[in-house]
Parts: sequence; C-alpha cells; structure tokens
Amino acid sequence: MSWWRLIWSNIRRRPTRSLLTAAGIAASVGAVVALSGITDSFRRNFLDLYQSRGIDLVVVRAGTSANPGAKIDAGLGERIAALPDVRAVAPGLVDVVSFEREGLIGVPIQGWPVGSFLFDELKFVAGRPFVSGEDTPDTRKVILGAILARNLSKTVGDTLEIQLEPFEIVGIYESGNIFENGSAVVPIEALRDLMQIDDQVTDFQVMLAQDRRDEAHVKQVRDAIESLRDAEGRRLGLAALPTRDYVNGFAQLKIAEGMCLATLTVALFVGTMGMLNTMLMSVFERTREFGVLRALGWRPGRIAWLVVTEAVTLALLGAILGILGAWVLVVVLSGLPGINGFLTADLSPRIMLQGVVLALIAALLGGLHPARRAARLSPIEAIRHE
Amino acid sequence: MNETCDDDRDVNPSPPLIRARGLDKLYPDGRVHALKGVDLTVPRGQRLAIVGPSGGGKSTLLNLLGALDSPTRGTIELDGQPLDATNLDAIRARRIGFVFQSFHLLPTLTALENVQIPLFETLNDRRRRVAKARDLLEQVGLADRANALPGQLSSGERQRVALARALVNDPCLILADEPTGNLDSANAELVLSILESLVRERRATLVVVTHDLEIAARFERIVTLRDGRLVADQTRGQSDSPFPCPLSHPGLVRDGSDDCILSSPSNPTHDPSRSPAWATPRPPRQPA
Repeated sequence: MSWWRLIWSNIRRRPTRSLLTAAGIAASVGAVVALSGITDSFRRNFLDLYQSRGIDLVVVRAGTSANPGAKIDAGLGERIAALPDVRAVAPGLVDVVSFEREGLIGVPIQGWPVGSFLFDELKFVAGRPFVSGEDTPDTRKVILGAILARNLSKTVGDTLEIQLEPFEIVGIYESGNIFENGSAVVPIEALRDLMQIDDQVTDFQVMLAQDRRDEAHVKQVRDAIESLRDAEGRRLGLAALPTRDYVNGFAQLKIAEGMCLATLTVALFVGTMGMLNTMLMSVFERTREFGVLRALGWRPGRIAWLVVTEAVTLALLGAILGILGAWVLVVVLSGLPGINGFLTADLSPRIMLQGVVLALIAALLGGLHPARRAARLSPIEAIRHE
Repeated sequence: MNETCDDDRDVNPSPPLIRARGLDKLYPDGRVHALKGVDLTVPRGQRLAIVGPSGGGKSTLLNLLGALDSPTRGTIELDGQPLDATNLDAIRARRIGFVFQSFHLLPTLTALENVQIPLFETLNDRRRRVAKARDLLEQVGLADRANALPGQLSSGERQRVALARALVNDPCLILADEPTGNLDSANAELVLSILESLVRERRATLVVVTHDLEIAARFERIVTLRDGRLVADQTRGQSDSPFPCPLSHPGLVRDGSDDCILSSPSNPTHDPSRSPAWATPRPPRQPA
C-alpha cells in the first residue's frame, strides 16, 4: 500500500463531505482563476495590440495615462517624428460607442489616418482598406473587425449607423488582436467630426528605428519627447511610456486587479474555513483511529503529515475542478456577443498556477491546526474516545 | 537505545525483557490512583496473563508496559533500557505489538493494507511492505482474505488480521488487551492458538490482560491486580512457588491431573467464598 492509497481511502470514506469540500475549494479557485484570467487576457490583448505592430512608445498627456478623454494636439506628431531614432509615428484617436439594438455596449471606434502603418497588420477578408483621396471624412466610410461584423450581422456594402450618422462598410478585416477584431476603424478626421473635436488625438504610437530599440535608446527618445516645449518655452506635458507601462497603467486594469485581489482574499478565507471545518470533523471522527496508529508506533509527525496530505489532496482536487470550471466559463464568455471582442478563450499557465497555489495555501491554513490536534492526541485517550 | 529485539537477544540474553519498579499511576484529575507501587519483572520469552477485577489497574499496567503512557512514579526498563518520553514512538514501532479487544482495524483498508500500517514507520520499500504483510496474513491463515475489508470479515478473522498487524514488525513484546473478549469460544481458541504459536516461534514475550481465568490458565504465569496493587504472582511449575500450576488462584482449581480448570457451582471443588466477583465462570473443560 502506498501513502497515497492510504490518503485516498480516507478521502473516500466520506465521499459527500470530501466532494463538497473540494467543490468549495473549486468555487474559490474557479472565481479567482476566471477573474484573473479575464484580467490577464485584457492585459495581454492590449499589450499585443501595440507590440504586434512593433510600437515602442505611446505618447499621452502626462498624468492622464489611458484616459481617452485627455487629448493632445495632433500637430505634435510631426515634431515627434522628427526626433532622432524615431522611425514612424501614428496618431490614434479612440471613442467608444454602443449599438444598443444589437446589444453591444462599449464598442471601440478607432480613428486612423488613411495610409497609416497601423493598417499593415490588418488582413481583409472582405472589401478593401481605405484609399487615399477617395475615402475622405465626408464620404463616411468604415471598416469592421470580423468579430464586430459578425456581432452586428453586417457585411461589405451595408450601412452602419454610428452616433446617428450612416457609415458605409467598405471592408471587413481580421487582425491578430482580438480588440481590433471587435472594433471598427474610420478615418481619423471622420472620428474627429463625430467627437466634435478639433485637430486632436488620444495618443501617438511611436516606432523606433530597428537598431535603436534597446533600453538606452528608448530612454533617450522618451526623454526627448517629454522635454518638448511650446513656443513660449513651456514643457508640453507629454508622457512617453513603453507599451507595457502604458497598458499596465490602464485604470480598467487597475480596477480589475483590485477586484481580483478582493476575490482572492475572500476565496482564500472561504477555502480555508471550509478546509478547516472538514479536517477538524475528520480528525474528531477518527480520534480513535489516530490513537491506534500512535499505539502502532506512528510518530506524531507522521500523523500530522497524514492529515496535511489529505487536506492538500482535497485542495488539489478542488483546484483541478476549479481551473476546469474557470476555463469553461472563460470559453463560454469569450463566445458571447459583446464580450467576444475583448476576451480570448485561454488561461495562461501562470494564472492556473496561481489557482493551485491558492488551493495549497487554503489546504495548509485549514489543515495545519487539525493536523496539530491529531498529532498531539494522547494514544490512550484517543483509543478510549467514543 | 537499540530499537530492535533480535540483536539484544543474541548478545545479552540474561536481563529480563521488562523490569518495572514502584509503578504508580495517578490520573490527572487526581481522583483515580490506578496503580500503587507495582513491581513486575518479566523474563524474555515468558507468556504472562494479567488478571483482576475491573478497575484493578490491568489495562493501565499494560499501557505503561506498552509505552503508551508514562507512570506518575516508578521506572520501566525494556531490555535494560529505561523508557522515557523521547523514545516511546520508536519503541512502540519496532519492539512492541499491540492486540486490542475491539480489533481497531482501519475500516477503509483491506486486510493486507491494515497489516502494513505499522510498517510505514520501519520499512520504506512498498513492495517489501506488501510481501511482509502477505506473509503474516498467510501465517494467521488469511491469505485468501487479503483483499477483504474489515466489514467483510468475521470477528475471528478481524482479530487474526490484528494479530498479523501486531507481529508484522517482529516485536519482542506482544501486549494483548482482552484479545478474545469479542469472540465466541471457537474463535477465541483459534486466535489464542495462533497467537501462542506465533509468539513461541518468534521467542517473543507475551503479556495478555484478560478477565477469563480459563484463558489465563493457559499461560505460564498469572499476575493478579486488585485496586492498583499486585496481589498475586504465580508461575506454573516453579518449584519455590506456592502455586506450581496456578491452582490456588482465586477461581481456578486443579482437576486431579496437571490441568488447571475454572471452578463453578457444578464443580464439587467450587468455593464461592474464594471466587471473586469479577471471575465469570464458564463451563469447566472436560479432563483429558
């Protein structure tokens, strides 16, 4: 008989209780893994949005990172592009709209300059990209990501009403990034019209020269951008952030991370209390058995190890169930219209490991006290226990 | 301290296996004084029965000898080495085998697995644990019941599994607390026969606590405890003993041959005034 056979026989002794305990851990782990997985998916997809195009820096108004309401003068793009080691600059303008009839809330509309390198990553599955000189802001043209087109049931030639303005769909694209697949792109001037703003952008995406992307050069360019001044010599108040820092500064991600932490804390508490209750009951019920084991020569440490490994096994069982549940949840969510443009159906190994660690901590916190009690039982009193 | 028996048996066979001196056991509440100055020396290989009325201190003495508990006063030496709190687990694992009245098998484990339980402390190799347990089950006649759960075994079979479990580490001291208390007479006889045979083969020492004087009469020495004191210590066939076969032991009478039998109302030698209240008479065995 192996040690694990012994553990398993004890877990199977009360199958309902064991299953419920594992289910409690599974719910805790599942909640944490699902939430963390969704947050992580957002972060990775945002980051990928920039890194897949080779964007090194994102320039925004200082102190307003990831606030689409904060705008900067579009004319600064040329000054940034003129800096040493800068290969290309693309202005970005983002607004968020809703298509309530289709139940889609918070769909990003991006305004890109016609002919920008930002279009290079898009693969058109229907129609065409914008054409310089032909697709002017006045003509109201739009291209849709494949997921958004599917959610809206639109195809090339259809009309899409954006903020009560009709736009003709001229192309449907696929991107390597799920956000872009769930968004629409219009010429930047058209989006300015819709947003009723002057010559402004949300950010500049800066690509450095191929051989100037090391940390030292990135820092030089950052310093140069942040030192730009206006005609009166005042600093323009720009912040040039490496893409990872820019994405990590998103307020939405910060909120999601806070929710993850809160969920983690509650999950750990619930998991620990469930495990503590189960193991205490188990130790109480098996008091005489522990007395017999002690009489047969088992050391207190081995008794404690027996209880702890039972708790850990239950927790691991719960962790596996929880991770499977979280994965199913993420897959289902990522297929729902309105969410499928933001969420990819995958869980990173790091997130799954986080779930396992959570379960193990709950097992240790919930199992150590019962283990200590079992180990400290007097063999005589334990054998006499009714 | 050497934790095995075999080495010492060969090197130093003379000292007694157990030497208990002035054992006092006062339970923590202070109201029960279970043992009062008990001295007991048990030679290696002896088979000893401890008898006496309930509350007389039999089980307490067995627990102290088995390193399950510590005396309030007095000392116990096993193979010349004092038992102290630092080595009790190892001694129990390697030198002492316990047999309980209620068997105390783990209900979720098979017979074979139950026998392996003590080996977790002494043998790391799983295959050797299985082989050793299987061998013991064979010796108690339960090879074909190895995969049965305790709930699928008769009482007699369960106690035989418990015997195998007690002997699996080759202990030099076997302690049995009312080992036949939950068995019918046929199974009691079978279990005792197997126990005696296995103990003799191993040259181990056997200490049995029993209420049953008929069982006690099978042993070469009977110790009587009453109110925590050792009131009688009789050895079969010892020339200087006033009880060559524990004939004058309360409740036991000689039947004319060398056998000791239990007195009863139907037995003309029965003397109710000498038969203690704790001795539950059974029908006397027929003389051979």
